[in-house]
Amino acid sequence: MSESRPNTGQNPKKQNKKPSKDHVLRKRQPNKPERGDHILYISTKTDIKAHLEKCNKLISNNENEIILYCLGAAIQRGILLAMKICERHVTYKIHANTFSTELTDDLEPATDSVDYEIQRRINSALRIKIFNSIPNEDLPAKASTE
Amino acid sequence: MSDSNEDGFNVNMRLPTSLTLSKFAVARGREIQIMKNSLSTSTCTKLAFQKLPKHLRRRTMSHNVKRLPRRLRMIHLAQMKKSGLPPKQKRPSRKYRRRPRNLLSEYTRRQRRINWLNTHIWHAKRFHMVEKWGYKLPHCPCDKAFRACYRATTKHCLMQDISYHKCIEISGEFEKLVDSFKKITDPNIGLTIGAYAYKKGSKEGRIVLHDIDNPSKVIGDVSFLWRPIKTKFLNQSVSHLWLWLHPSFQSEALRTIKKCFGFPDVTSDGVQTLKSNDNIQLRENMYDLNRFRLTGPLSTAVLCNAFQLSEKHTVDWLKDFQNLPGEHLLKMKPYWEYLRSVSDPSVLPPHFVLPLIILDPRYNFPKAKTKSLPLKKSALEQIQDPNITDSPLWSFKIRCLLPHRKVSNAKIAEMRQSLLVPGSDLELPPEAIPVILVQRPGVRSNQYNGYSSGWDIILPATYAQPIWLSLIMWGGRPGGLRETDSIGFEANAEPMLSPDTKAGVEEEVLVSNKCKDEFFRLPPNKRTNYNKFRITSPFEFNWKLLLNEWKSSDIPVEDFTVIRDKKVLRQIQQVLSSSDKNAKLPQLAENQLVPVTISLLKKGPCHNFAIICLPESKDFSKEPTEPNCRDSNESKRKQMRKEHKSLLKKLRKRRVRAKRDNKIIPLDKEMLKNYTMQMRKLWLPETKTLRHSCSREVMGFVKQGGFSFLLSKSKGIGYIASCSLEKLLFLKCKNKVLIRNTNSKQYRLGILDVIID
Repeated sequence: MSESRPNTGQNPKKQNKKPSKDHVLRKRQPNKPERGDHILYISTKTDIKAHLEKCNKLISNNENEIILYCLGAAIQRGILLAMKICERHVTYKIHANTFSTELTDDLEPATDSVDYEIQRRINSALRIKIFNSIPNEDLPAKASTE
Repeated sequence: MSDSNEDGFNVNMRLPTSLTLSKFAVARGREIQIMKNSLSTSTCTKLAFQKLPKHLRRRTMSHNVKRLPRRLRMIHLAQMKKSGLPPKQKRPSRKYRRRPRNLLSEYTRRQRRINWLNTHIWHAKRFHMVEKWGYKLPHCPCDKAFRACYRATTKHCLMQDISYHKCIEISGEFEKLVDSFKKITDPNIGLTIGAYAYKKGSKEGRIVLHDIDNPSKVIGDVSFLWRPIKTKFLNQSVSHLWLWLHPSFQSEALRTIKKCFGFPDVTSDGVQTLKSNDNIQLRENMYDLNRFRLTGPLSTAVLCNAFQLSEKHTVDWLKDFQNLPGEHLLKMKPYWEYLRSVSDPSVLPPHFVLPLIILDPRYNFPKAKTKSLPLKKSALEQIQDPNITDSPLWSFKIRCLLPHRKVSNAKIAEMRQSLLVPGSDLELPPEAIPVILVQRPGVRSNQYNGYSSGWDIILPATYAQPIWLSLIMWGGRPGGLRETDSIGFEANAEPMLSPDTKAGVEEEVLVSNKCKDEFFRLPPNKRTNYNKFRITSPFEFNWKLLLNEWKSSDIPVEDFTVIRDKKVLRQIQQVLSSSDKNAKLPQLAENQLVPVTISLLKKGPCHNFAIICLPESKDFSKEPTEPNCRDSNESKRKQMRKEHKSLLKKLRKRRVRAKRDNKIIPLDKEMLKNYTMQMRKLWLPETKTLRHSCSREVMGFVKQGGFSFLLSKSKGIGYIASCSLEKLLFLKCKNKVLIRNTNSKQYRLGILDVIID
């Protein structure tokens, strides 16, 4: 919970630099490129059922487009979620884009003589667009303002 | 009689044939003099208003002076005074009281006893205000917005005015300042004030101040900021340092700092500058700096909308300020644009300081309250963080100048009025304002990373009100002291005032007195009988007694401390959470408390004053309950009450009898007070034992407990005795503990985690 582990349990090969004794590794939040009601960021902590509920609610409100962002370990969950949505709502199609995001870790000084440092990592990310292939003309969707 | 005509003149009187003019003139002159005198002094008994002709008379004239003609008012007042009836002045009307000048004098009168924030008037209309630490502070919004405020911290932007933190400036040679601070800080706790990371003034840091007379005694947490200077002059020139002191320990901290630097301990009201022999200068009572706190992901967007950067040196004080070249202002522009697309302040470098020159926010108020949103970013480019430069806000001279240069609200309203198209933007080049933004990274653990991240704004006090209003208009939600507590609770932060500090003890006494008052205000049949629940200290944190009962040696614990050394805390956490059975705890002193959080495994609430207990091996399968217990004081209370009632009856009879004989027997107040005291002692007996007070051993107390919206479960933040950890490890149950509320017999399992920062 309130624990902030120094980088001990992780595989050192994955890191650019292994933090020395003088530093404590703290991960920063990744930046969110978009914001909106129909944009979901999939995490490994939130139950996939909760995400699914939310998507169903959006679709029942005549949302024509849902965008899922997933990063790293959450990609698998994102794909699963997108498939589940398409299974339930047949008119919805998937369009996926892969890209990589730069993540920043802070190396906070633990002793007086060193400065703050950062280390950058690249992680693969996925942007899944779920859209209605037969947009409902009679009931115009709420203008998706971003 | 017949000689006189109807006018009464003597007809037969003979007139002299000649008269001496001089004699005649003197006689007439004397007559005129007498007539004049008699005219000026009236002999009539009427009052001034009674002498008025009928058409000038008004109803209740004597009562209300204003109904008299102005020339008679003074005479009337004098007459009324003479007659002994002071003319009753009407209470000034609301309209009169609300006139700007009268209002201002009224405000200054009301601030004489207690300090006000610069945004007090705004807050007082919308918040429940409480008196705390010598200030009148907003506690919580009147609109019951608890959950809305929480939502603001996770999804939007919550704003708080934390200007009650007092700023002091210390300037002098860098090495000397750092050396002096070594006397009042502990280098083991974390980074010191002279750490390389803070030296350049690009990061804000925190230190823990210790008492200079008693280095083991902690005063409190203080955040500090060095003034950025050009590195090549670093060793020669004067370094400036700002310390932000919390008002609860402000006087104590000031005393220690003054003693540490060898200043005389004198206090005065205005801005005071003290100088010592080593060319060290201390400036206190800096009322010209304010600090706002913005929390939540949208706080960057709110700031970016409210603050427009000044691109040129528009004002002369800025031109004169050597340390800020003009091209720097231009360079800031792309970075500010980059910030617009940042989704959360925790994306930015932690504790990062950003000095800005902004335009007056009153010129770009939105037309209506607007929600600020970050811009959609097309490319994920990262911009290098700008070089840190000096801010004019550091200069005392400029801070003194700012209030005189401020355009008044009335002037701006006038300008708005004279716009050709009503509602269009004002175009006059507005006054520049120096501000400093400080990033706060929030929670930095794996779970809920980035919660409570945001910005602190340091701004000149004159502009506090317009900047506050503009932030509100750009979509910030205001919060008060309650929100400070709830954010800390959600973020798993250790309570700001630790129990080993003087300020913390005072706060604890306040809270426990309040709880006791509330308890005894209930009728006896509605009070929780804590004796039956075997809770020995329901409204007090008896840390000293707890530590005394847990220690193995015979020396009684006099003073205790909270563990602040992050390495030790991290070790404890690792030992507790690891499955390694042979893990060993670091060496801990016996008089130490460990700050912990406890999240409940299953359902159930967790309240303040709940006890943290050691489990037994059978408890993990089924949560135990406390066996029934009888209250030994119950019969005593009943007996006492019965006797007291009969005594009261007897006394009353005696009084009535005495009254018949015209004597009065006064009430025996001492006896009544005595009875209440005794009765209260029977309700809440003095705490004699804690550790073995109930069927499970008590390790510590929950200081702040409640439902956490982030966890969607109850949790508590508290302290446990360091010696109890060994016994917990011996049980080999990892970090599971029991928790029991004061009003329940049910124990609940919870997971204990050490608070590291």
